[in-house]
Amino acid sequence: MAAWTEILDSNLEPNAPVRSVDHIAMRDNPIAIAEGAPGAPRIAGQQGPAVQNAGVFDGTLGAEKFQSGADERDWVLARASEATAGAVGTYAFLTVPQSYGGGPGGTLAGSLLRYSNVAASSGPTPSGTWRIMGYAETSQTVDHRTTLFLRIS
Amino acid sequence: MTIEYRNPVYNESGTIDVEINHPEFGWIPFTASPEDVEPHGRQIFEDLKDEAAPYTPPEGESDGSPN
Repeated sequence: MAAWTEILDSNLEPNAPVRSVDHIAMRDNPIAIAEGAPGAPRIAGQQGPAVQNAGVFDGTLGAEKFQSGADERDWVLARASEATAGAVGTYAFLTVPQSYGGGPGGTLAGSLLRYSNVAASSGPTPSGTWRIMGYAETSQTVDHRTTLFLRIS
Repeated sequence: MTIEYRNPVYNESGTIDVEINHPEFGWIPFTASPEDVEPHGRQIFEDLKDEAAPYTPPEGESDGSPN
Protein backbone atom coordinates (compact mmCIF):
# COMPACT_ATOMS: atom_id res chain seq x y z
CA MET A 1 0.00 0.00 0.00
CA ALA A 2 1.28 3.44 -0.89
CA ALA A 3 1.81 5.79 2.05
CA TRP A 4 0.16 9.20 2.32
CA THR A 5 2.66 12.06 2.56
CA GLU A 6 1.81 15.63 3.51
CA ILE A 7 3.53 18.08 1.15
CA LEU A 8 4.19 21.43 2.76
CA ASP A 9 3.47 24.59 0.78
CA SER A 10 6.98 25.75 1.54
CA ASN A 11 8.36 22.80 -0.40
CA LEU A 12 6.52 23.94 -3.53
CA GLU A 13 6.88 27.69 -3.36
CA PRO A 14 8.72 29.59 -6.12
CA ASN A 15 12.47 29.34 -5.79
CA ALA A 16 12.20 26.30 -3.49
CA PRO A 17 14.53 23.55 -4.61
CA VAL A 18 12.99 20.77 -6.67
CA ARG A 19 13.08 17.68 -4.52
CA SER A 20 12.65 14.14 -5.68
CA VAL A 21 10.85 13.19 -2.46
CA ASP A 22 8.01 15.67 -3.16
CA HIS A 23 7.52 14.34 -6.67
CA ILE A 24 7.39 10.81 -5.34
CA ALA A 25 4.76 11.94 -2.81
CA MET A 26 2.70 13.54 -5.57
CA ARG A 27 2.91 10.29 -7.51
CA ASP A 28 2.00 8.09 -4.56
CA ASN A 29 -0.63 10.23 -2.83
CA PRO A 30 -3.46 9.49 -5.33
CA ILE A 31 -2.66 5.81 -4.93
CA ALA A 32 -2.76 6.23 -1.15
CA ILE A 33 -6.19 7.89 -1.43
CA ALA A 34 -7.50 5.07 -3.61
CA GLU A 35 -6.13 2.45 -1.25
CA GLY A 36 -7.42 4.17 1.89
CA ALA A 37 -3.98 4.63 3.42
CA PRO A 38 -3.82 6.00 6.98
CA GLY A 39 -3.98 9.82 7.00
CA ALA A 40 -5.07 10.06 3.36
CA PRO A 41 -8.24 12.03 2.53
CA ARG A 42 -11.28 9.84 1.94
CA ILE A 43 -13.45 9.89 -1.15
CA ALA A 44 -16.95 11.15 -0.28
CA GLY A 45 -19.20 8.24 0.67
CA GLN A 46 -16.24 5.92 1.20
CA GLN A 47 -15.10 6.72 4.72
CA GLY A 48 -14.31 3.13 5.55
CA PRO A 49 -12.90 0.09 3.76
CA ALA A 50 -16.23 -0.36 1.94
CA VAL A 51 -18.58 2.01 0.10
CA GLN A 52 -20.89 3.75 2.56
CA ASN A 53 -24.58 4.49 2.07
CA ALA A 54 -23.85 8.12 1.18
CA GLY A 55 -21.64 6.92 -1.68
CA VAL A 56 -24.55 5.28 -3.48
CA PHE A 57 -26.63 7.65 -5.59
CA ASP A 58 -30.37 7.58 -4.98
CA GLY A 59 -32.23 5.31 -7.35
CA THR A 60 -29.13 3.66 -8.79
CA LEU A 61 -29.10 0.33 -6.99
CA GLY A 62 -30.82 -2.26 -9.17
CA ALA A 63 -32.17 -5.67 -8.19
CA GLU A 64 -29.19 -7.31 -9.92
CA LYS A 65 -27.05 -6.11 -7.03
CA PHE A 66 -28.98 -8.18 -4.49
CA GLN A 67 -28.49 -11.84 -3.84
CA SER A 68 -31.46 -14.19 -3.92
CA GLY A 69 -30.51 -16.85 -1.40
CA ALA A 70 -32.28 -18.08 1.69
CA ASP A 71 -30.62 -15.45 3.89
CA GLU A 72 -31.98 -12.63 1.75
CA ARG A 73 -35.44 -14.22 1.62
CA ASP A 74 -35.48 -14.58 5.40
CA TRP A 75 -34.32 -10.98 5.79
CA VAL A 76 -37.15 -9.68 3.60
CA LEU A 77 -39.75 -11.81 5.38
CA ALA A 78 -38.46 -10.71 8.77
CA ARG A 79 -38.75 -7.04 7.78
CA ALA A 80 -42.29 -7.60 6.47
CA SER A 81 -43.31 -9.43 9.63
CA GLU A 82 -42.31 -6.42 11.73
CA ALA A 83 -45.15 -4.38 10.25
CA THR A 84 -47.90 -3.37 12.66
CA ALA A 85 -51.52 -4.22 11.83
CA GLY A 86 -52.86 -1.32 9.78
CA ALA A 87 -49.44 -0.23 8.47
CA VAL A 88 -48.91 0.68 4.83
CA GLY A 89 -48.24 -2.51 2.86
CA THR A 90 -50.29 -4.76 5.15
CA TYR A 91 -53.50 -6.58 4.33
CA ALA A 92 -56.75 -6.49 6.27
CA PHE A 93 -60.18 -8.07 6.02
CA LEU A 94 -62.59 -5.14 5.79
CA THR A 95 -66.25 -4.40 5.19
CA VAL A 96 -67.38 -1.61 2.86
CA PRO A 97 -70.64 0.38 3.00
CA GLN A 98 -73.60 -0.74 0.89
CA SER A 99 -73.00 1.82 -1.83
CA TYR A 100 -69.25 1.39 -2.17
CA GLY A 101 -68.79 -2.09 -3.62
CA GLY A 102 -66.19 -2.73 -6.27
CA GLY A 103 -63.69 -5.07 -7.82
CA PRO A 104 -59.95 -5.34 -7.38
CA GLY A 105 -58.00 -2.12 -7.65
CA GLY A 106 -60.57 0.28 -6.26
CA THR A 107 -59.37 2.60 -3.51
CA LEU A 108 -61.31 3.76 -0.48
CA ALA A 109 -60.59 5.99 2.49
CA GLY A 110 -60.26 4.11 5.75
CA SER A 111 -63.20 5.89 7.33
CA LEU A 112 -65.57 4.05 4.97
CA LEU A 113 -64.29 0.66 6.09
CA ARG A 114 -64.52 -1.54 9.16
CA TYR A 115 -62.23 -4.34 10.31
CA SER A 116 -64.26 -7.50 9.94
CA ASN A 117 -64.33 -11.29 10.06
CA VAL A 118 -65.75 -13.96 7.77
CA ALA A 119 -69.13 -13.57 9.45
CA ALA A 120 -68.88 -9.85 8.65
CA SER A 121 -69.01 -8.71 12.25
CA SER A 122 -67.56 -5.24 12.11
CA GLY A 123 -64.86 -3.81 14.29
CA PRO A 124 -63.04 -0.46 14.37
CA THR A 125 -62.25 1.82 11.44
CA PRO A 126 -58.77 1.84 9.87
CA SER A 127 -56.76 4.92 8.88
CA GLY A 128 -55.23 5.76 5.51
CA THR A 129 -56.08 4.56 2.00
CA TRP A 130 -56.99 0.97 1.13
CA ARG A 131 -57.09 -0.89 -2.19
CA ILE A 132 -59.63 -3.63 -2.81
CA MET A 133 -57.73 -6.88 -3.45
CA GLY A 134 -60.80 -9.13 -3.62
CA TYR A 135 -64.36 -8.27 -4.58
CA ALA A 136 -66.84 -6.20 -2.62
CA GLU A 137 -70.34 -6.60 -3.98
CA THR A 138 -72.78 -3.70 -3.84
CA SER A 139 -75.28 -5.50 -1.65
CA GLN A 140 -77.47 -5.17 1.41
CA THR A 141 -75.90 -8.40 2.67
CA VAL A 142 -72.94 -7.39 4.74
CA ASP A 143 -70.86 -10.52 4.16
CA HIS A 144 -71.06 -9.81 0.41
CA ARG A 145 -69.32 -6.53 1.11
CA THR A 146 -66.44 -7.94 3.15
CA THR A 147 -63.19 -8.73 1.41
CA LEU A 148 -59.41 -8.39 1.44
CA PHE A 149 -57.77 -4.96 1.29
CA LEU A 150 -54.20 -3.67 1.00
CA ARG A 151 -53.22 -0.41 2.65
CA ILE A 152 -51.45 1.71 0.01
CA SER A 153 -51.02 5.03 1.83
CA MET B 1 -41.65 15.77 2.25
CA THR B 2 -44.65 18.02 1.65
CA ILE B 3 -47.93 16.26 0.93
CA GLU B 4 -50.40 18.09 -1.31
CA TYR B 5 -54.00 17.74 -0.10
CA ARG B 6 -57.51 19.02 -0.70
CA ASN B 7 -61.02 18.90 0.76
CA PRO B 8 -60.30 17.91 4.38
CA VAL B 9 -63.46 17.17 6.34
CA TYR B 10 -64.20 15.45 9.63
CA ASN B 11 -66.14 12.18 9.48
CA GLU B 12 -68.45 10.57 12.01
CA SER B 13 -65.53 8.75 13.66
CA GLY B 14 -63.77 12.00 14.49
CA THR B 15 -60.96 11.38 12.03
CA ILE B 16 -60.40 13.49 8.92
CA ASP B 17 -61.19 12.43 5.36
CA VAL B 18 -59.01 14.20 2.82
CA GLU B 19 -57.67 13.73 -0.68
CA ILE B 20 -53.88 13.55 -0.91
CA ASN B 21 -51.67 13.73 -3.99
CA HIS B 22 -49.69 10.52 -3.65
CA PRO B 23 -46.34 10.47 -5.52
CA GLU B 24 -47.20 7.11 -7.12
CA PHE B 25 -50.99 6.91 -7.14
CA GLY B 26 -52.02 10.53 -7.74
CA TRP B 27 -55.05 11.92 -5.92
CA ILE B 28 -56.46 9.29 -3.56
CA PRO B 29 -58.85 9.39 -0.61
CA PHE B 30 -57.17 9.22 2.77
CA THR B 31 -58.34 9.04 6.36
CA ALA B 32 -56.05 10.86 8.77
CA SER B 33 -56.20 9.74 12.37
CA PRO B 34 -54.30 10.75 15.49
CA GLU B 35 -54.11 7.04 16.30
CA ASP B 36 -52.71 5.92 12.96
CA VAL B 37 -49.83 3.44 13.25
CA GLU B 38 -48.16 5.37 10.41
CA PRO B 39 -46.44 8.63 11.41
CA HIS B 40 -47.52 10.40 8.22
CA GLY B 41 -51.17 9.70 9.03
CA ARG B 42 -50.82 11.25 12.47
CA GLN B 43 -48.94 14.20 10.98
CA ILE B 44 -51.63 14.87 8.36
CA PHE B 45 -54.27 14.83 11.09
CA GLU B 46 -52.22 17.26 13.18
CA ASP B 47 -51.74 19.55 10.19
CA LEU B 48 -55.43 19.58 9.24
CA LYS B 49 -57.25 19.37 12.57
CA ASP B 50 -57.92 23.11 12.70
CA GLU B 51 -58.63 23.44 9.01
CA ALA B 52 -60.94 20.51 8.25
CA ALA B 53 -64.61 21.21 7.67
CA PRO B 54 -66.97 19.94 10.38
CA TYR B 55 -68.76 16.60 10.05
CA THR B 56 -72.16 16.76 8.41
CA PRO B 57 -74.44 13.73 9.05
CA PRO B 58 -75.81 12.26 5.80
CA GLU B 59 -79.45 12.86 4.98
CA GLY B 60 -81.90 10.01 4.35
CA GLU B 61 -82.25 6.55 5.80
CA SER B 62 -78.76 5.19 5.26
CA ASP B 63 -75.89 6.67 7.24
CA GLY B 64 -73.34 5.11 4.88
CA SER B 65 -71.82 2.86 7.52
CA PRO B 66 -71.14 -0.79 6.70
CA ASN B 67 -73.67 -2.18 9.16
